[in-house]
Amino acid sequence: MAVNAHYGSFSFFLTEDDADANDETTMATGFWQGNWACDYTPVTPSGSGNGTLVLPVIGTPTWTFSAPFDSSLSPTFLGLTEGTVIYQAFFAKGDSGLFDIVDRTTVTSVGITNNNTGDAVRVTLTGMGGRVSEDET
Amino acid sequence: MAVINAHFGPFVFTATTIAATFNNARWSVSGASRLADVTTSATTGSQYLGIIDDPSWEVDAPLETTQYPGAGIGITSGQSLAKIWGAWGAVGLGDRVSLTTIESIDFVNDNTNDATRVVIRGRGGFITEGVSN
Repeated sequence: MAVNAHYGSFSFFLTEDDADANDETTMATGFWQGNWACDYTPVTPSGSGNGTLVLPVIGTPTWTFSAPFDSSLSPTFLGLTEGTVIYQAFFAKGDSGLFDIVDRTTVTSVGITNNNTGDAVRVTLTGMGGRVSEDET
Repeated sequence: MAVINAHFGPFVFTATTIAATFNNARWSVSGASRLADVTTSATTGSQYLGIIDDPSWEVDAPLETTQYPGAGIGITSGQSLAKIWGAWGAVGLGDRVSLTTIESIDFVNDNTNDATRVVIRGRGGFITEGVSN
C-alpha cells in the first residue's frame, strides 16, 4: 500500500544530552530525501568467470530537507549550521510510523531562497555521513 | 440599498494622461493573488500564503471603427497603462486597476450571429474598489 507523504517530518536530537532528556526538535517538512549510499571496493579475483565483484566498505549517506522558512524554527536558532554534527536525525516516512534514522550525521549546507515575486522564503538543509538504520519504529 | 443597472458602465483606458473610453458590452476585474504553497507535514490539509496582488481584467466590446485598439486609440499588447477603470453602471463609481499591463487584444468575427468584437485582457497592478476614475 502506498504511503501518504504528507506527515513525513524531519526531527532530531542535536546532542546526546538532548537524546537522554528526550528533547526532540521537529521541523515540519515540505520535502525530504535520503540517499543511503555506500562506498564499494572492487574485489574481483583473477579468473573470475562471473563478471566484477565488489565489496561494500562503509555507508556514505546524504540527505536533503526543504521547507517554508519558519522564523521560530530558523536553522541557526536551532543550532544547525554548516558543519554541525547532529547526534540523531529522524526522517519520518509519511504516516507509516516508520523512520529512517541517521546517527551522527553532519550538516553540510544551510540554504535560503528568497523569491520576491512568487513564493514564501524557503530553507534547504543538506547533510552527509553517519550510520543509517532504516524502517525503525 | 439598490441593485445597480450594469448597462451604462463604460470602460476607460489611461495609458499616461490620455484616456480612451469603450462603451463596452461586458467588463470584469478579477482580484486574484499569487499564492505560495506552504503545505508541510505540520499543516492540517493544504496551506497557502498570499504573496502579492495579481489582478486581471477583461473588456469585451463591439468593435468601433473610430476605436481600433492599435491605429485608433494606440494601445497594444504588452503596453503598460497608468490605470484602467470599469464603471459600475451609471453610478460614477467602479473598479480601478492601477499600474497594469495589456496582455492580449483579440478580435472576434462571427459571420452569422454577432457584430465584430474586440476583447482586451490585462494583468498586474493593484485594484482600488468603488472609486471614480
